[in-house]
Amino acid sequence: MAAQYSGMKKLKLLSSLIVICCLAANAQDTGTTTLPDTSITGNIPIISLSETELEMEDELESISGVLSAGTGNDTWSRTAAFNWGAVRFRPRGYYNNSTEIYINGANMNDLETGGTYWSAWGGLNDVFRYKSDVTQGLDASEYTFGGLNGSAFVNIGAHKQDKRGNGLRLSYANTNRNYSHRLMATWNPTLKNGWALSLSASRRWAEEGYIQGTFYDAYSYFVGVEKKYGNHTTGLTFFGAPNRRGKQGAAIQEMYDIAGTNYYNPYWGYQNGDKRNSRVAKTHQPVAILHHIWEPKEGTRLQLSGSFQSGRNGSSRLDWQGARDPRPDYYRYLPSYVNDPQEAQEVWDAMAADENLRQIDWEYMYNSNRFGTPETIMNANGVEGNNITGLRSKYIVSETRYDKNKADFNAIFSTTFNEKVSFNSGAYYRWQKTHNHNVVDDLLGGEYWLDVDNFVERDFPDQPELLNNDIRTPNKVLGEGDTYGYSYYSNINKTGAWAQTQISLNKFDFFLSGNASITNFWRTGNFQNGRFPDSSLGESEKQNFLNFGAKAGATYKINGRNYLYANGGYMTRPPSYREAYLSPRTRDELAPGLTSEKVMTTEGGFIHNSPNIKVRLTGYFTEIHDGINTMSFYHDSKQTFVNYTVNGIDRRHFGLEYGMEADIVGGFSANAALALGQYYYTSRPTAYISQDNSSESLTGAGGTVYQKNFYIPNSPQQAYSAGVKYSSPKFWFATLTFNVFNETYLDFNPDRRTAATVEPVEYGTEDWETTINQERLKSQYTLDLFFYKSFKLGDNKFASISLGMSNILNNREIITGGFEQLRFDDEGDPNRFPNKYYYAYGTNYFAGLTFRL
Amino acid sequence: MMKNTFKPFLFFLLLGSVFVFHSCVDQDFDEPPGDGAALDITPNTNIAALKALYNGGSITEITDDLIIEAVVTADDESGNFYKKMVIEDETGGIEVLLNFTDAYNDYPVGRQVYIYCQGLYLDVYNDVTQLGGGIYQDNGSDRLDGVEENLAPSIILGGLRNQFVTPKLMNISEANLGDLSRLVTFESTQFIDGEIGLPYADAINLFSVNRNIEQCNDGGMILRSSGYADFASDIIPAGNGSVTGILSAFGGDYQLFIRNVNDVNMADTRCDGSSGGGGTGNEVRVDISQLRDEFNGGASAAGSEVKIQGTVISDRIFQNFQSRNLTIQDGSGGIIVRFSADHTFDMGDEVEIVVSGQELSVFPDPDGGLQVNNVPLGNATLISSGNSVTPNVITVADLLADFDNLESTLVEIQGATLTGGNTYEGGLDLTDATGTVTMWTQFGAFFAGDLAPTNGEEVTVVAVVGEYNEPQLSIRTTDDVTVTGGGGGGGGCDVDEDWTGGNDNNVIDALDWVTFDEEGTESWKYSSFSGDSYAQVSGFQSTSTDIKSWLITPAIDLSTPKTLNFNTIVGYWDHDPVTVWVSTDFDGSNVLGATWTQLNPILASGSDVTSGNFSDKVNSGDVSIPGSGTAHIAFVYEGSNDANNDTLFRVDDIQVCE
Repeated sequence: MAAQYSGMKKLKLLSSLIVICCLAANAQDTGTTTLPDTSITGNIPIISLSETELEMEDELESISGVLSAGTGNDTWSRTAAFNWGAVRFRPRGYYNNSTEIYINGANMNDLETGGTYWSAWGGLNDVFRYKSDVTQGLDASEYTFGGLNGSAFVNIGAHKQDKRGNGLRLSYANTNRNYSHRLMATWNPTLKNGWALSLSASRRWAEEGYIQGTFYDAYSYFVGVEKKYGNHTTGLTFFGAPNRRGKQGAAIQEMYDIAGTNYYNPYWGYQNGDKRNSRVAKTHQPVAILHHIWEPKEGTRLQLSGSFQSGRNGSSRLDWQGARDPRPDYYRYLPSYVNDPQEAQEVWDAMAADENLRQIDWEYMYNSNRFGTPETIMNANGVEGNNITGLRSKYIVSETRYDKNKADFNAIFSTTFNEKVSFNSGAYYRWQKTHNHNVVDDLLGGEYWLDVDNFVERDFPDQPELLNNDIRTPNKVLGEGDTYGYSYYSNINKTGAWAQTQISLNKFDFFLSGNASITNFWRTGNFQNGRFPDSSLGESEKQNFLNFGAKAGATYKINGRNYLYANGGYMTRPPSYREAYLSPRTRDELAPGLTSEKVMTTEGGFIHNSPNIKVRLTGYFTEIHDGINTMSFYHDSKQTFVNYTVNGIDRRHFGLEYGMEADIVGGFSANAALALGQYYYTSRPTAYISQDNSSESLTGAGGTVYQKNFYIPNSPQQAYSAGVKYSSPKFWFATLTFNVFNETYLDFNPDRRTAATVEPVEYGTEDWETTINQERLKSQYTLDLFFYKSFKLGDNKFASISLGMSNILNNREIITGGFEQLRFDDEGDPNRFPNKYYYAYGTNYFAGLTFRL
Repeated sequence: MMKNTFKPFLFFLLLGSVFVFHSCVDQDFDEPPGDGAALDITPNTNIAALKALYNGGSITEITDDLIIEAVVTADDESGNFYKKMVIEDETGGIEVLLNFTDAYNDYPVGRQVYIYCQGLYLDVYNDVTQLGGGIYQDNGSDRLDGVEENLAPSIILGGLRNQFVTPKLMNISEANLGDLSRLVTFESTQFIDGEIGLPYADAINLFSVNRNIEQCNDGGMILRSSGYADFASDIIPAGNGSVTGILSAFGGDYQLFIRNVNDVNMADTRCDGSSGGGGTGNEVRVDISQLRDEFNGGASAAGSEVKIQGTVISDRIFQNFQSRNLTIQDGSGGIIVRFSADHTFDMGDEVEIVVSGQELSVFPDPDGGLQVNNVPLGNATLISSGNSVTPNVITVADLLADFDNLESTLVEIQGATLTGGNTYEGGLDLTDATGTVTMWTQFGAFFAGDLAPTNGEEVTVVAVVGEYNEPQLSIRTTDDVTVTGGGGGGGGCDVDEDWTGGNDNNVIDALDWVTFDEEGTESWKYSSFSGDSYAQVSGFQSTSTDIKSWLITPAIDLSTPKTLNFNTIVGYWDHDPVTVWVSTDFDGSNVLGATWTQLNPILASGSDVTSGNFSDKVNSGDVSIPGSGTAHIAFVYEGSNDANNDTLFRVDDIQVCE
């Protein structure tokens, strides 16, 4: 155990569960700064895609699983997970790439983004609820150097499951959140001769979740086999979680007001009377892990792991050519765009009265495709004389795919020299190749899709040779399932090693760790793009980054109940693949000024643990320098789709975390938690703008982005909780918690903070303020209730019920985040493309029934 | 105690139930039924009556619950009608303004529509009555606004499809106000002589254009087309026939708007019996060499009813060829076709050109290229695009020996060197082991100012053979010149710097170059754009109020005379910031201690910015370096962060050579 203070194991275990849980919340929060689903096929319609798609996902579902595991306590971490997760609280304001996740020794972080896709094991709560070793912040782990915000090393070997699993576990849950129903079954049969087997499966589904038009359809499966012989253990783990779900889109307040609900979702529409979502995420990326552990003597351990992950990850959306924007919340269709005030009111009334006007009109798209004039494509697919006549689809459902292949080899060695000194080290190699491409998913009644770029048709009418997305096959006529627009592989290799020593004395514990890694990445283009014939096809130049980190810490054990500790570290991180190329869909041109991020961080705190009162107080201070951010969007004043890169982004995160829990009287206890943070930008980075469909630069340097002292968005910087808990001797307990959230800021558009954009706006006017100020969201509150009871059915046989009610005051005005649209009116009207928001759920519940037999 | 089989039984039972519930989330969608059914709506008025409601002075609101039934006669599919459609019933036609695009998907030509007119507005614009959904203010006056996208479904209901209106057959002279917005057909009609071969509109600048049609023995009318129409760049036909379109008016003149080019059917002979230059259709194809043979000096005429066909080997984009000239080649040879106007054929296009009776002449006379002169654009027909011609690999001696047969064909000369200049502009000498020929680049060619490989590099050149008093070669783009080896050293260059490999925004750190900030901290830095790197300074948003920054070359040995040549670019020009100096006593570090003498190369300035914010590369011209011993050249930027004094300046392709 890597704890710096003895006796803290329980606390660490639980806090880790919770960190995982919090992180899960963050996993979906890709932030507007990165552009996860950016897949502009160079088509005006897809503008909203360039903006963040914050996704409501599984962040809340693991709560009952975690609680029913119910041991130990760290008030702060628990509160952050259960009570602050609903408003997308991110511990310390860090992003999801700050924590390393391992399963049976295999690294699970995506190499393109650095983050973790939790949906890969969604629904396997029974298996994953046991977390072996989790560290927060800079704490030492005996398995890895860790990230800025620590690491989670999850051991789900079958023997572990066997010990914990009580044989068979069946559960059913009902909720009104993302899904309605959940069934889970886990069986760990008792085997002999050192064999262990663990099986688990689940299904979660909903016709419609809390948000309109979001369906949910997820399965999961898990098989773990392990064999012990002598001091060796070998195991094979295989799991996957095929799922499909309809997504929720952020909307501007005007649409929420017209719809009369803050849970309006622009992504769906009726087709034959059923709700069909245009944005369907469909993922299945199973993982296989082979691990071997050798413990030649007490305290010495060698763990080898190899893993392979492969599968599809896609997200659908509408695409169109020769037809108008089908999105119901497109700004030109809204009352605010109508010149005549009387007519504007009529539009408002019509949209408020007729749901179909607020939602996608599938029938219109089918009719547009089916009743068009048949069009002849000459020399289709580049074959002379191959003339194809048919109904060219104007609208299609397209799927943006990120199909990943990832392999990871990891070796970890630990030994203790004596009671006081231990040594940990490891080495790893990681490889990832992701196929990024667009696929025609549904022709919506048309007969084919022509693979050309609409922006070129408009921007370069006299250069039709630029039109083709793949000039090797001009005039590409496509059917459902065909790749179009772009296709490339991202290739990333990472090799590294680390070492650490820990010293434990009577009054002091110390540790010192260091790591080094080499990351290289490149792009392999499968299309020769007509706009970039020389930089789109084949392998690009390799980019190499050498990175290192060092950290150290000390704990002073005042006595058995009071501890002081302090840690400090410096590390560098390679730029994320997603930020490294101006427009990887079309070419291999690198973002200017590509360099590693530098992180300096310190933390320290005080812990008091006595039978009746537990207190933890932590302070942290982190500087992150040389960040880079690449995005693509429609630039109104340039009147074209642009690639926009901002480099030299510096951030500062500092604050306090305080958690307290005290017994009062007769089963009642009180708890409080507090997060007081300041996360903000400390530099004025430089922006570069280039035209997406041309190698001509628009302005060369795009200028300075005046974002110094802007806040890191989309997480409350201050959160407060106070709660009471009653624990009955009759195996039940209940908690009631009141939470307040402050200082949440919306993500902002860097282009609105450049001199060029602000210039046409009159200084000091309201428009000027709106243009440059970052929106601060209103303070909010919630009240949450949780109840749990278990029943003993027999020897080692239990049943339990749990009920979580969140936001029981039904506060429906909680904006959890959102973003300024990247498109900005060139005449400086900041309200032309207003901010988009997400709202937290009103009252919601999760009720579960579990049998352990 | 539970039986051992019970647990697995339960486990797999639950597993099985998962699939029982599979159907719970049904995400399979059937295609919705099509629309286009007849609607049970009874109209209570007609278009003529509706138009009569206009009060004659201002935008008029329709207050009664009126319903009309009509059929769409023009939609916005081609782009010639924008944010409007035209509908018609037995009593007349009317324009309906729409505040959304691509309405042809909802209301295509031929679709029956019912319009609930109450609350809509009527206006008359240049005699044309329009129906709209609202009023907005434009510079203080009321304007009719289109029907909004979200209101259209309840105002304009689409019924049966394909109920096409039969156009009203009339003569041009019969046009009248009552038939405005009606679909009409004029027969025996043609475009006037002077417009044959021209496009319908200006697709590049997106301007609408008026063409003129005339009816045999009747009147004429304007045919107006939008630059946004998808047929805007199509060439108007030369023959005679029928034209169908929406009758409109502007400024007291009648105009006709076609829906698309299918509305124009002019395959017949013109009113005067001619073909309009487009040929008779009876032409016989002859080899280009055969046509060339018909030239017998002066201005000869090609035979009657002949055409040629070949692949375009000249280029029009980079402007090293005359914009009216086209060089085509077939298996037998090549020739220049000179059109009566700028053409739109690109390299690789296969074209057929009717040359019956056309003038054959040479330009300049007598020692110039043979051309078919003054060919109407309408005589040329595009057969296909994207073809290529394999150049004939020859030596210079071969070229000179067989010049007459090689003229206007594509050749490739290998193992050659280029001399006689730094850039492509003008004549360079192309020399191979067998001889020398001129490689000529027009002053106006896009690449004229680009540096040519004239330092002794071995090159392979692909070019079109031409003649202008003497044999010459013309490349299409610089891609036609490939450096195959060696050279470089030939001229003995002390400096040859194009800044490749520098890190953008880093201070220039190329070997032996010196940067020095006399005032401010805005040093010369690397910059790149579109793969080309520069040394750059800009005062824009600098922290320095006064900037004087030096960029100094490595040492130059003047024991042999040296010439300086470089390119410059200005951006966001507001002043001329850079001066160029030479010193023969600079010690490599003490800039201000050295004696500097000003040089006067040509530098980019505000007048070089012709579009956008940046100039093209401007060549300095060859500047001989005065003095003896060891010299250094300095580029000195002076400016500030003041908005009137912060020009961006780039220096590139700096060569100091013998």
